[in-house]
Amino acid sequence: MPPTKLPPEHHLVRYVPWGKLRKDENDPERVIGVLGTAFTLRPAEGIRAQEEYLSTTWLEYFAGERQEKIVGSVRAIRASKLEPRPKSAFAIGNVGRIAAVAADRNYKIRVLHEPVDDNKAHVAVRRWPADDMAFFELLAADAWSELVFNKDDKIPAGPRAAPDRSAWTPPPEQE
Amino acid sequence: MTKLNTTAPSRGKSYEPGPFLGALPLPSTDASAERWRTATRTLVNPTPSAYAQHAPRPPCDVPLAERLFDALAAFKKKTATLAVAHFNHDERARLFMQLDSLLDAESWDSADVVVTEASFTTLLRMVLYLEGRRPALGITGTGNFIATWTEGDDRLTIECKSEDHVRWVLVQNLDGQRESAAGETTARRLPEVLRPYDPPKRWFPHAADQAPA
Repeated sequence: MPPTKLPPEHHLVRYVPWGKLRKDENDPERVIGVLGTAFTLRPAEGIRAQEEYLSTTWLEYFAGERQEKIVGSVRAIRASKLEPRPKSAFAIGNVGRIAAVAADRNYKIRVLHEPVDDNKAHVAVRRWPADDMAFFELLAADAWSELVFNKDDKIPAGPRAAPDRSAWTPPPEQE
Repeated sequence: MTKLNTTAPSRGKSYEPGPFLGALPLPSTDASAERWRTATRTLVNPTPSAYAQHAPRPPCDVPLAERLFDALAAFKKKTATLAVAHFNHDERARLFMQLDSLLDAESWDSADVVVTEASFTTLLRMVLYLEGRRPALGITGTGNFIATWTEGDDRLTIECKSEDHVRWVLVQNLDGQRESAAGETTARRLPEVLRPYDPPKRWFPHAADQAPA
């Protein structure tokens, strides 16, 4: 079965390490946004090959109201190999808006649900540019700028693996 | 009778290394305590060979926390030697606070390459050329520093690469219309390259005045 293509109204959650958060110039502990570098593919290093796609998590994979979906996504990322650090955060972006910014720069990205062993809600954003700092900064400035912190009081502590099946089911025409 | 002046000659305020040294990370093990002492000796009484006493180990053999510690010490030493005449005490303390926060081992993502001294040198030189507002700091996954300036919807982001090379992106809001510009240049030419744009003019007025028209 081909991977599910995410609808444009759905959202992606991307783990953002502390060093890739935008800080206040006068207070290095105060986060004011995300840096474009959070959306770069990891380059090859040593025996590790370059990432082929941007790894994200599908917000609407999880059941419930929006806050419950956010909690589900964050805990699923915590349960993956990423091991988010305490001061890290998660950037949330709308699929349609991200695709529109990409299209403005002639990138025809594909946003596909491709579950992996450590994250069943994993989404691969394919045809992602390897290096376009201006594109990444534009995403960080607007389309992919909503932030949730790993230490957020509204998110229960600890990991919880994503369920095996998505809470979202495609409309009949896409099945 | 002539009264002899028996007080020691003074050059005014004596050098007080306390606040400067206090900005170094605190040692957590005997090995790191020794490195701290070595780095402190180097800062107070630098010798050209102080950091060349041990053969470097391959990065993969060195624990991440140790690599971060070494990088932090090297950046502070570089600041002391390169920018001592340009940064006052407050600015230096501010920069060290930023570095401490950014390179904190508890917060560092193990997938990221530790930032390099080559990138830090470019960052320092760029900040000195631009003068004006000092940036916030971030990193790329490939070992480079990112310098950022933000005011409302106006944002300037500069990646500091080795040998004075920089990549920059400016996103500004003009009457509700978002505009972006990007380029690649050297730290020395940055003031001239950014000259046409309003936010950098406000943030680095001295550099904008100095840049050739």
